[in-house]
Amino acid sequence: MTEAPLFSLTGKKILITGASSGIGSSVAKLASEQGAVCIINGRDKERLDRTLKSLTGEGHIAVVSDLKEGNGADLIRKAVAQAGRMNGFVHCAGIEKTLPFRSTQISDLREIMAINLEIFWEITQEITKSKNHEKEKLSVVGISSVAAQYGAAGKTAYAASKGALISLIKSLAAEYASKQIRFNAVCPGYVDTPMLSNIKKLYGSEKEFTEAIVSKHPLGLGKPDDVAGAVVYLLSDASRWVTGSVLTIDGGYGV
Amino acid sequence: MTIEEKLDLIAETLDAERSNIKPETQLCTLEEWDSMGVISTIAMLDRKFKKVLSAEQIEKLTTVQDILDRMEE
Repeated sequence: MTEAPLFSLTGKKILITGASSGIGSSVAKLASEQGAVCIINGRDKERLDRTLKSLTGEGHIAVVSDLKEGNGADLIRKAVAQAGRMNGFVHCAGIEKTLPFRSTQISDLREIMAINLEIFWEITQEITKSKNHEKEKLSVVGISSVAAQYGAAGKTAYAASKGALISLIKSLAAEYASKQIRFNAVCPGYVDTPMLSNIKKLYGSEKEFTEAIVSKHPLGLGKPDDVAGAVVYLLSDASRWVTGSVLTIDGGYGV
Repeated sequence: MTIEEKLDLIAETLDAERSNIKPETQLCTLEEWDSMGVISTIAMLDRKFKKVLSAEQIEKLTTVQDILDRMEE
């Protein structure tokens, strides 16, 4: 038997949150094309089923659940019971609110932190238990944002949550390196997703939106697939010497 | 808490196989008894049993039974 290609995910069991749409859905599709068995999570059954149907190969599992406190650990238990020990976790679930800082309540911050950070925390705490992953074969990827690196007006709570995610990932990378468990973050620029459509509504015209957002990306706005490739790399053995890194995929936003 | 429940809790704290956790087990033979394992055990004794161990007491933990002895409710 020949060894699987370096970028292959053949036989790897990957949990992907936020898989109903956007980056999560693209990650699931590309991971399945690379041979992964995907355990996809989302709130909306119909949209999650649509992602499930789009996956290549067999054995994929859709788990419909709201990511509220306590559900993260439950999600891992269900995934392991149905698919066996995990090899990867990609946290794509995320929310944002565009509001001036003066109007952003502490309750807004907590709502955003609950999904963008706390559920990642909870799922990670469960998946890193030795009974829940294959020994020395676990890679965890968090979807952060350029907002975490450069800041973003009107997105203080979102940027803070994504910055905290990076700091958490770096610390986990240090803490779990001895167990060969890898943690990395991906920082996308603005990607054409349902989340971006919400942001777009805040601008008066297409021209205003282009000036404020699109023009900051020399390579133009990204597509979810542009980010999915980076995630698959971080899940694969090709990145076996990569941990605690922040991979920026932003069409040149930072240039 | 029964002794079995306490042994379950120690296994969970160390993220060790339950079958490897017996009262007579020498902690130094467990790969999970590393610095993180020691810290997790100290936190567990503090949170669940309100026992704060001194550095000297921590050094004296050599078997699982030594941890059990500290798990008095």
